[in-house]
Amino acid sequence: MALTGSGQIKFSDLNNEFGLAAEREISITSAATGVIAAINTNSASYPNSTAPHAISEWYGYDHDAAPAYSNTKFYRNDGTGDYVNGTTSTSPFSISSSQDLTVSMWVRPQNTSTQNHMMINFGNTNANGNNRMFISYTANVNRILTRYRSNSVNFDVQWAIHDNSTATGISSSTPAWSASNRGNTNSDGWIMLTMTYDASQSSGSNAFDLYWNTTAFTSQATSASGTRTTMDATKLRIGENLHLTDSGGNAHMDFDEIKIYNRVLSASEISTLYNSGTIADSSQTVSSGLITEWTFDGGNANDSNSKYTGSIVNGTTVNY
Amino acid sequence: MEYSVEPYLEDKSVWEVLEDSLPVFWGTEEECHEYVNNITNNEL
Repeated sequence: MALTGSGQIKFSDLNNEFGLAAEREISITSAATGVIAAINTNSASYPNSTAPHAISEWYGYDHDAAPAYSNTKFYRNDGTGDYVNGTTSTSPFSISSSQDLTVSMWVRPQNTSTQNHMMINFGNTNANGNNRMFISYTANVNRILTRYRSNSVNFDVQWAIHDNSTATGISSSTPAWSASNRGNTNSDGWIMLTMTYDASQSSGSNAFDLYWNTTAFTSQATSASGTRTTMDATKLRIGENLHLTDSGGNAHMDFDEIKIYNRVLSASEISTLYNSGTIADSSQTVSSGLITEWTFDGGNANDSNSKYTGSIVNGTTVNY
Repeated sequence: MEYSVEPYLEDKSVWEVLEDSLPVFWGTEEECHEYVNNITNNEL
């Protein structure tokens, strides 16, 4: 039972917390340093390391607090034949004109020369690129594309990175997005890209939004509003086209904390996702509506809710 | 690289060049074919 969050805490409460007999003496200093029992440092409240300890430091201490998330690994796609492959027989969600979606991911370009990047795509076939939703980067126009493509018909928005310099920190189309020109990043060079898709909108222009860290893009290079055909998302790839294995669009970048939601996250929630630049999973940020996520902390391509059978092809997970 | 030219807009008023399935150029159908021809010729 957790200690009370306010008011009086008795020494007997502390004894009880540590499973000790009531008559046994307890040193709070020892307790704090784990001599008697390990203090759960994941609790939001626990004694600090400075003795003597005030009882007030114990207010709200919860020995049963869930362990805090620790981000230990990311995934690296080296631009040559690497990708994460995901398949399932039961589609976790549909791509349609009625299913809202948000896709958020942390990326870190590693290319030193001009490079297109297929960051993520999901659809219903590995046979071609005609049925999928994707987020990609086209270097020669310096644009990120958010596209819903069904039966070879496009519903999309193209976002020039340099025309959204307030968000990106990049004001010129050259040089292209690369390891030496990442734009606005967190302290480790990562960018959080978030695409929202409001299915109820009839135009691509109104349906898609794109956020760079916490800031929405405001300038669209062009858009398409073609007929949308409903399809499953039984196939997924990160870092490569769904139907290719070593294309010119093989992403040369790092990926982490890829999340898919079944709703349109608000700007406020995307700010929460950003978590002041500290990469974190959904349990630490936004979990409502999460379909699944890839943290890569297990050193594999398993997604948190086991929606896909995932495998890493040629790529690697890397320790922070 | 493999290139293809396909309609970008459904009414075919704008076409695009796909390079390994990633869109890289937009214009009329003729402009798109010319783009591909130039790249292909330069690669020969």
